[in-house]
Amino acid sequence: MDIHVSSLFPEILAMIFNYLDVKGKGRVAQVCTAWRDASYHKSVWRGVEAKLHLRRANPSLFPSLQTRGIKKVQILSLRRSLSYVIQGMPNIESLNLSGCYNLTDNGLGHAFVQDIPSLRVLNLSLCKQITDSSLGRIAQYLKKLELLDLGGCSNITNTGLLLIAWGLHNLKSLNLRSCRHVSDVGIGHLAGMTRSAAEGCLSLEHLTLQDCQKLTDLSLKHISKGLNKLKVLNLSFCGGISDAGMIHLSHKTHLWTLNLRSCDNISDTGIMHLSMGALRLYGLDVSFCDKVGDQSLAYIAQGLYQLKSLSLCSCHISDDGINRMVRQMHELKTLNIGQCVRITDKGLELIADHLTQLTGIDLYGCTKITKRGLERITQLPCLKVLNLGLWQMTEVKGLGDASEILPCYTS
Amino acid sequence: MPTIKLQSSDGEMFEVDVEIAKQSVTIKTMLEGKWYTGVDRWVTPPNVSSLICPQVIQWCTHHKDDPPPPEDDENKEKRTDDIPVWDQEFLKVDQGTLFELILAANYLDIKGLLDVTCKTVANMIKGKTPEEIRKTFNIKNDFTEEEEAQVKQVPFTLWHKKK
Repeated sequence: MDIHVSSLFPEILAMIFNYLDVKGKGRVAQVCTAWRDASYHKSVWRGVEAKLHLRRANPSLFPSLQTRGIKKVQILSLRRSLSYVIQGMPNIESLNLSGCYNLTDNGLGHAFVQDIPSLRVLNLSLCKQITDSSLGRIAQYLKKLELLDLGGCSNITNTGLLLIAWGLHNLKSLNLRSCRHVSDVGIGHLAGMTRSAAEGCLSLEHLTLQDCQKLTDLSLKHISKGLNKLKVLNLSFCGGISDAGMIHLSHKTHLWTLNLRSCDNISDTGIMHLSMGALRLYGLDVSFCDKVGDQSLAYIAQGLYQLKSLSLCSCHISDDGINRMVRQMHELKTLNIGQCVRITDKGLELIADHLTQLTGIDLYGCTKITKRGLERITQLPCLKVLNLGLWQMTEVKGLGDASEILPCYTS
Repeated sequence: MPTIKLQSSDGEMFEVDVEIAKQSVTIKTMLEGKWYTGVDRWVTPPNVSSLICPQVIQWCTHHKDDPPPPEDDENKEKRTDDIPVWDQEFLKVDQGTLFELILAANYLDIKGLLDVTCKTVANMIKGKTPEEIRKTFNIKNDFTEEEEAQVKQVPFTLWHKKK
């Protein structure tokens, strides 16, 4: 006698439902009572983030999240108050309010009125009305926070960072993109330089300071002294950073990824400092640093040869620089040299001959390369992605004739 | 090469290489157990019939050199489009056999086999309405009107899995 699906006990049904998308998980609940009950298993909803429009009061909403053990929520539009959400989800672990432009200090203040020890992740990016006052609330009641995203919250000042440094000792990831009032003083707070007032966020592993235009090399000094667990540092568009700042960073042996995109003052000298220190970087991005040239590639080959990802888009490099680098960079998997207009087929041949582990390469805007060079590149054994367009990536599978993928390049 | 015997629920005996059988964590644990000294060793998984046993053995034999399956990462997207071609062919069986394989893999704790069989069933569910699912698996709708309305009320269409 054939076994029927009803022989599969609830734990097994839950395992199967785990493979469905959220809509599917909802639909199976409507099949029969046994499937409904199995679909409520918390294992089915592990890791799921509920995305909610809070238009009208739905009394079954929070209980249904609770039954399924869902603890991550993104609010798509904040029509009702935030306190409605916090009250409905006392064990919330992750709250994503990205883009809720109508969230005010007031609203946040009414919502966070007591300790919420379960909350680990808070995303307030583009909540443009938020000020330091909210950070005070956050520092007081969300002490277990590990990730805080304040990207685009341009009202934040150094005072806000002092509050963060005072209250959020578990913070591992902080995003301050475009928080333009932030200056070296604020970074000092984070790094524990104001020990009498605030211990600092010494557990920080990811720090994004993109577009914090007021920062100077002094910030990097603070970072090098205080943030000893930092793995990923994004300083893109920080126009105040210079080569001298790289000396401070060169001591940070645990730094994995450094983003210096569009840091106009960075030149070959800065790259030299990075290469001569104790850094073991895996990823470096100096795209649009137009003072970076072939000499930098020589330095990188000497001191940063373990790099897995290197971006030099729009830098003043030539085939000569490629030549100086390729024989040492055995681990390189991603190379972005888009808009490097001096690169020719000769450079591509060098890459094709030596960078055998390469899985992705960006050659958009390399106007001197031809079909010949590209054919060599497409022969790289591990290559999966070849970018030749501004926004598109071409997947390279079962590599065929180069002219199929690149009609615009003629020999 | 040392072997172990599997006795199916209907009494038949199947002999398997120990190394192949060890893909079953259940069997592996038994073999490493302190009380295990006998030469004549066998395992009797319940509900694993003499028709399913050889199929399980066949799967394990084909996968004997596979690396151990990775730990489940709750944040990783769960895919169902990555079932290896051999497994896809192997699993072109009737539903009854498929469910028996799931139960056997579950009892014998063979993660790889459990994963691909569950993925296969998930693929049979994907994209179908509740009524279509009932037809596919010959399931009776045992909801009362009230229960059915309640289940439909939750706004699932607003929820998407985190990318």
